[in-house]
Amino acid sequence: MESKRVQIQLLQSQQYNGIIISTDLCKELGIDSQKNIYVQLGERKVWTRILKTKRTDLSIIIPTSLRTELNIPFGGKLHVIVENDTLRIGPVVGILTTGIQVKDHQLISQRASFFKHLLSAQKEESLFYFLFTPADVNWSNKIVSGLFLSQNNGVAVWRRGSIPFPDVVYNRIPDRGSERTASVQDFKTKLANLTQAQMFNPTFFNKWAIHQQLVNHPTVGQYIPETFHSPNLNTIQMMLKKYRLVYLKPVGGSLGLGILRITFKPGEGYFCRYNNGSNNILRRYRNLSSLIATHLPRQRMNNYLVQQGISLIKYEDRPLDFRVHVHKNRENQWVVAAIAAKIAGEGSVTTHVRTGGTVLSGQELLKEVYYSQGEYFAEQVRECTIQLAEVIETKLKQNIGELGFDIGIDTKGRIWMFEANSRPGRSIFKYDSFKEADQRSIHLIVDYSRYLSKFN
Amino acid sequence: MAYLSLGADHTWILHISPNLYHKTQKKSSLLKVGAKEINWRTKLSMKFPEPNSLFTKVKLTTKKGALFAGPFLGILTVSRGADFKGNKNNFIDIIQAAKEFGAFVFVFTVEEINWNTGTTGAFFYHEGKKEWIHLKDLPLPNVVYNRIPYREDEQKQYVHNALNRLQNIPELHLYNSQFFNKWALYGVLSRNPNVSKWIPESRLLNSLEDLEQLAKVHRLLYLKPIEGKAGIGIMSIIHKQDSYLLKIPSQQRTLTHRFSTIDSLWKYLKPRLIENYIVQQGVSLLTHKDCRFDIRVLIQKDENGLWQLSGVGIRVAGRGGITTHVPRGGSIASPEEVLLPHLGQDGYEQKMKELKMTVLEIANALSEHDPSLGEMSMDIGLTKEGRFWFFEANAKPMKFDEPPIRRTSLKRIIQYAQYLSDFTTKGEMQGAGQTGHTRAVTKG
Repeated sequence: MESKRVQIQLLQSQQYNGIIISTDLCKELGIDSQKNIYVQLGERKVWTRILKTKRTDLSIIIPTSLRTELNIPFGGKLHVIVENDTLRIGPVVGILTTGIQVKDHQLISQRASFFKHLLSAQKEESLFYFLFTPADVNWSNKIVSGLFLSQNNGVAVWRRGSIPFPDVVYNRIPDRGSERTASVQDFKTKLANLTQAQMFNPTFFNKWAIHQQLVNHPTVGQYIPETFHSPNLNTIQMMLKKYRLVYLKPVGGSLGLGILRITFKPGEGYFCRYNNGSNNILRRYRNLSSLIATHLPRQRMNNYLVQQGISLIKYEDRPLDFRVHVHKNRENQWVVAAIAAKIAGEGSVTTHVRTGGTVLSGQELLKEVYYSQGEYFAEQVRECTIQLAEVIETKLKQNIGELGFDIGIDTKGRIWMFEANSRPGRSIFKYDSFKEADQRSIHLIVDYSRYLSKFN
Repeated sequence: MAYLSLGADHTWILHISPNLYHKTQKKSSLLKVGAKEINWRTKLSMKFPEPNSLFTKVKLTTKKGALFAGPFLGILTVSRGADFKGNKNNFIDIIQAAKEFGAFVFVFTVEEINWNTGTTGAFFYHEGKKEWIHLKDLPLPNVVYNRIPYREDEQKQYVHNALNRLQNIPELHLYNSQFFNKWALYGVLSRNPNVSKWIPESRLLNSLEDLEQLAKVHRLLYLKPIEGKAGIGIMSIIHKQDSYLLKIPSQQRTLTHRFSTIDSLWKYLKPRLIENYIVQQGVSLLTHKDCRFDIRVLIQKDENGLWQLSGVGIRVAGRGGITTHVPRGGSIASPEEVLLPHLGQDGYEQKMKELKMTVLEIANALSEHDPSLGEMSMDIGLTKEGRFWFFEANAKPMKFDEPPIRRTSLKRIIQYAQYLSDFTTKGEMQGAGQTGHTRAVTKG
């Protein structure tokens, strides 16, 4: 059954004890108006009477007593759906994060504009959409003090609203450290054991675990560069002999921090490129052991991977790779929201903007590189990432609604997947050529939430 | 994802991804193609086909260690000299859609099948040159989409035999094996308790008695030729208190004849019924600007082999006309435009859901009777009381002109062919895999 969009009106009156629904709407929803019914919002379920009204419009009126029991923060357009003897109102979707504060109705966070943007998708949708932290949940009554976004004369205003625990939680905990804290772990345990809620993108990926899942897979194994965990000197030496170029990457790293690019040139030695936080640096070593001893003291090797280097295609002499942002839609199918080409900064190990890189439309750039073959390569990239997303989702057995892939194309035209991100950044969407993709992306998050909460 | 193209030297080229290409040693591959699993030697390429070459997208799958490319979808028709019969624009659209969704679609004729070699001559549309190219020795397809345009052709003995022979090839799937026989259709549906409520009362019209039986109960009757097409030959009878009005649509206007008794009506009618006719209960329908209209739906099987509603259109009859067929004075309108004023927004949504349920139920009933059905159109009537009636189904639907319906319909034709022949995405995923695919390609 499909959900219906209706106007939910709150009525300031102690006079009525029940939910007021027009006879027409009862008929349409298949509700027997003679009987009592469960009304559900998020985790809250209330047994109540149906009070019929002759009004013919598609609205539901909730008087004060039911409002209090249901803990509905405010009225508006929402979806309703009837399942057995329950009328569900929603969806209730919460974005989970940590490290935020509100002062004078303004969100104090480095990522305030990021959250404001995600929540702006509510405009054309009909749902309760808010931001919250594990500390905002009262587990004794499963009520959340959520942060709702509204506009006041064009200015964003953040207001607290009390609402039942959501149907769907979109996990945007900012970093691995916060994810590991006791409060977040406790939240996850309680969500799984005490609620029916669905959480998507529940964890940060462990690079090595993902690699293990994909490397021998019959479909997508072909896209995975050869990689070893906790390499010793011999392994790195062997890889350099085989590929001439290798990368050393921290297992749990992000933003390209700590990545070393090592090349071997016979007669010249070993070259190591890295970014020290502010500059791109190139250093030469006579032998590999001194290079490793300088950059990776012994204890840190355990947290590192050595990866086959790929000679990337270049644009104006600078290597480029791609960030492909994929989403699940309302039919639970993967779709590509954006392909961004990231061009490396001068002498940089990675294509991160932080290290001087630039971002352009992937499709356009592929046409610049491959001319008439450009669209074909774009199609290959799309197909490869959708296959990868399907496999990752199946292997991890988690709800995954969004992924960001780092994809490279080598000089022979082969496609490689370097990294899969479960909390992909949105920096590519700031560029003009991705404005449309940006809108599609934030609405796809709502679409997938509707799928998970069965408000289709 | 892969492409097949015809090289300048008349050899076939298989275009695979650069990843796979670099893994294979030999730069040629032996493919299995078509229902008879014929061996095809192809060159390998990692590039997109030359834009000016003859090419299409195909799916790859491995079975029993061999690499299969396909599906090959043959649109079956009959020859007209060196040419072929049928709606060429429709065929071009299907071939173009296959380039996007993945199938090798060609048009072939009953006359050109070579039963000894399991191959056929065929026509393929060259997008660059905008012309039909005749190709020799294409494999008999995995899926045959029967678009023989005329019943007279389909009933010829050699055509009938060819259809039977095709049907007997184990790996070949025949899609819509024949036209519906209108009378058999009513029989099947009125006997099925799930759907009989939507089927108007109908009888074979052989005698005065048949006519009388229905005229007693129903004020309005339709006379329809059993093998009719596009509304040709449909007449109506209105039973007034002291007379019977017979309406016969002709080129420009509708002729009305008045008879005082049913005997005189039958005397007039009998010599004019040169084909087999049925007589059917008429119902009084909602009108749009005083014209009657039919709801025409397109129903197709999807990539999982399940019936889906692909589109709903409205066909409005000309003023005073009986048929809503566009070439016979009817016109196209959108469901919103016609139904919203009658039903209102909420009633409209509700009715459309009910319509979907109704036609899918009827489609299920019909496919129990003929499992080869992959698509059909239906004409559905809606009465003033909000009741649906089934009027007609066509196993070879004419094309829908509404662009979104058209697009969905083309996609489903290709995807259902992929489903029938086991070239679904999941099949491809296994086949295009690192081990399976590579092994198969290098073996060749």
